[in-house]
Amino acid sequence: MEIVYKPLDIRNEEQFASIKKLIDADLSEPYSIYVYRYFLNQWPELTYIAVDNKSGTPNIPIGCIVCKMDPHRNVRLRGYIGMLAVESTYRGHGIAKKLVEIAIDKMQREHCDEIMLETEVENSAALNLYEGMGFIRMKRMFRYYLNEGDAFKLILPLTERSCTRSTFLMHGRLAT
Amino acid sequence: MEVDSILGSLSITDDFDQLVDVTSLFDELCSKLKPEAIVKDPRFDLFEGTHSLEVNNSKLDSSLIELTAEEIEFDVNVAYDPPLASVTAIADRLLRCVISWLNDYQTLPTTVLSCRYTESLLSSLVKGTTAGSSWCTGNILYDKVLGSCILGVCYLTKFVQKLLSAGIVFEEEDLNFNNMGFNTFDNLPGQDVVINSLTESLQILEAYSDDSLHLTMLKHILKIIICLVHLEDHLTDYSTKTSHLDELIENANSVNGIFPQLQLSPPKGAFSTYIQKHRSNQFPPRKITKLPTDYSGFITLANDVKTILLVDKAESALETYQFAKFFNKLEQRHVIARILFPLFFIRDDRTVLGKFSYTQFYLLHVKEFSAQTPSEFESSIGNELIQESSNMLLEWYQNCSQNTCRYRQGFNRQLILWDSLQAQFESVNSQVYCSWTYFMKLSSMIEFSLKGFDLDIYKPFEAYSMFWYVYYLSHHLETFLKDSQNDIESNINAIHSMNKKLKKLKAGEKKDQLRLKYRFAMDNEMEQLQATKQFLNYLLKEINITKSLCLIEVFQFAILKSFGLIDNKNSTPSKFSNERLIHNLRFKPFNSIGVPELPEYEVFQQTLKDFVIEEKGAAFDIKLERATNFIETEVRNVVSSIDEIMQGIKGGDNNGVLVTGTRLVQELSLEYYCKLKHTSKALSVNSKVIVNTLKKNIKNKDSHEYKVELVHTTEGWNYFPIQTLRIKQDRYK
Ligand SMILES: CC(C)(COP(=O)(O)OP(=O)(O)OC[C@H]1O[C@@H](n2cnc3c(N)ncnc32)[C@H](O)[C@@H]1OP(=O)(O)O)[C@@H](O)C(=O)NCCC(=O)NCCS
Repeated sequence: MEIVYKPLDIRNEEQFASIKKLIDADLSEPYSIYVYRYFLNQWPELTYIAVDNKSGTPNIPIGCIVCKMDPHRNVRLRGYIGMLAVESTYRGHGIAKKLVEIAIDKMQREHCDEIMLETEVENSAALNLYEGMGFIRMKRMFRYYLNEGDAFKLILPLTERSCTRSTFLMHGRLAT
Repeated sequence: MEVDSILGSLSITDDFDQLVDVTSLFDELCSKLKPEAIVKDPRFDLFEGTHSLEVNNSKLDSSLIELTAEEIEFDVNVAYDPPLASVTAIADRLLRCVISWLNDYQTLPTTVLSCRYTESLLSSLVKGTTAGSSWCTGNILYDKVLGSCILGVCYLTKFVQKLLSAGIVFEEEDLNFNNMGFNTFDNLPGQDVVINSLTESLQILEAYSDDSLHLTMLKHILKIIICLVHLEDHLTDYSTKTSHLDELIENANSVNGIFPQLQLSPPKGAFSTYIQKHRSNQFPPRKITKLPTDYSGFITLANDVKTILLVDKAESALETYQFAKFFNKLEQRHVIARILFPLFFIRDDRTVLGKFSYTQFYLLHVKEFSAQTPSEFESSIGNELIQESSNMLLEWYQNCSQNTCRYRQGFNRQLILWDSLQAQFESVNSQVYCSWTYFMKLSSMIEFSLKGFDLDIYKPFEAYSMFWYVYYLSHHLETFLKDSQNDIESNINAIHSMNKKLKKLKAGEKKDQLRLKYRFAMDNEMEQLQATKQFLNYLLKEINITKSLCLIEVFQFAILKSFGLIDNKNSTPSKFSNERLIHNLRFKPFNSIGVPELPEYEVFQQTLKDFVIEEKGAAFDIKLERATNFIETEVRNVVSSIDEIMQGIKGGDNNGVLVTGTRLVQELSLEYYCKLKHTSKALSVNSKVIVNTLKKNIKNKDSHEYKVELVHTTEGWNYFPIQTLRIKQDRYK
């Protein structure tokens, strides 16, 4: 196993398709193609993949993280982790952790004030992973439909702006 | 074939000579496109697209649903055999669909609308429809009896739609109403017509000589549907009659008794995903989930609605306040009851319970809390502020019936609003209003914080800061309540001293005047003063309990930290953030609050240091023992306070010491205090377990073997989880 991490190549349609396949495998209800287009085409620089150079298919990602970044209520820059998946046979080797680190590092360099994401209450792998990196649970969302279970909203603060209610940041709006 | 002819009809012209070939232009433009470019209308935001479905993707395209032959061929115009057993089975399954939809949060198309008869009726409804089914089998059980069942269930569905449109709860969270494009609910006949139809069906069944269980069951089903159709009375007439709810419970119980003896199987295809495939559907295909196996869901519904109707009997603001605090606290009420509560309480005619205007209701709260008649102050404050406060109070009431997650979020919003109101009252110097607002604010801050434990928002490492902060808030609230109590006390004393003075005064005008004043005070003020004093007594006991339990938790955290098992920060430092930022994010909801000011990060650090035992050897043991003894004393205090409150509740607030205002929620409040008591005892046991386990193992000093978890005990109260020692397990082992 020789894992290499690299940014998405948005011109590579094959890569696009394999990312979709990798992520769909973990979802009970898949995202439509638009969801992928929304993230990958608008923020291609915020998607990273992991490939195994020693495998027979070094072009097919075995892990990936998909993020976006935009102003939240016009007062702080919020990074958002939309999707994260590692192929089941590659789990437990720190691949997800590395992908998350690379993505957050990038968003921090882009001056994000915080990183946000949502994950299901029952997903202890994801909760352990993110909470180990300093994310805390901000709220719980009631969502019993389709037996989906509740979800937590997690935030990792990167700057002090993350720690003040947006109502009180209004006078210092972001220059966008 | 069909597609070709439809597309053909779209053709613009038959004269192909007029058309220009743009292929080369198209190819040329395409060659200039970057591979990552998306061709779209600039007004189309890709985000909107994230909700779209995808044609030909079987997980997203409901037209690809595969139906069985029976499902495709199912015909509502056929009387499937044997009619009585089949009709009973269909009606029964439909009712269990209702439970699945409303009690188990399933979607409308996979439950009520999965029934082909429901679909058929809704498709045929036109304005002015009178009772009667849209199918004709020639069999009265199908055409008449089943017809009225379907009509009744549709009527209930329409009522639920109305409830949802009130905007109290959130679609897709508390209740799903994907109506599959049916806008025909409004064409349903009126309640009387529906009830008549159901009653006629019952009469038809009465005439049957058959003494089968199916017949008995079907009669119960009809009676249940009649009760469900009557649910709307609590809103249309604000009816407090519970006879239909009692009947609902009775019949549901009877059916539950029959179930084990009956085999019920509806005709194949009568319930399916057919509707998802054939009608306009903006959602991905959904499987039909397992239905409940009995009617207990209706019993829950009826009992919960009965509970919320009790609020009508409130005789004081104190009672409505306590009612709202307790009715949805121990377990989340049925969604219908949760929507009905605010609609029944805060009425369309802009009154509360049809008795008070919003401001009157608000002023009543202030009056009962302060024992002063606030109307005297009203003019100096201005109507707007009073109105704003009244709305805020109603929002508080409404929030009490939200689902457990929204409930906490509601407080998050309220904190700053109460804070700003308090500041406004302060600026116009109105002490009475200000005090009450401060009370509401502090109570909301405490509730918001502690509710987080119930929802598993906090990690074990955060337990210290959260409990210490609530302890700090409780301390402020306690001081405030004591001051209020002193004010009341001196008002009472002033009245009593008038009497003493009277005795000393010689007869004359002065004495007469004082006597009048004294009489007035005794007749008009004393009762409220005494009631308020006793209510404050109760509040003080309650805040004392909260304060002590927080302190116990704080001590346990400190003990665990003294053994090196936990710290008030993540075990591995974050690469991207730091402890201070993470702490500040946690306390973001409070950092703008004026009073009480949020203590600085350093204060949290310092106080923890003060609690932790840093000594070594014998000195460590002495301090540890002191800490555990302290916990024991606090637990005893808590338990005795709880007992006093429980006695007060049981005695109907008649002991002359405590007024709890829990008359309408006696059982619920007692259950709550029982849980709190259980938690106190569990905390006491936990202290001993922690100390014993760690003392034994401290010699090998391997604290890394253990970790701390926040555990909820089933009998305890979740706001105070137990910081439990657990042996670490390597998940990769
Ligand atoms: C969650 C997921 C991405 C983790 O991938 P991974 O490469 O196995 O994770 P890593 O090896 O990098 O683990 C990093 C940390 O995550 C946590 N973690 C990962 N798997 C875990 C598991 N099965 N149980 C508990 N914790 C786990 C641990 O804290 C771990 O750190 P540690 O090894 O030092 O204890 C992977 O399980 C996955 O693809 N799941 C399905 C999709 C999903 O749930 N995505 C997240 C939605 S937001």
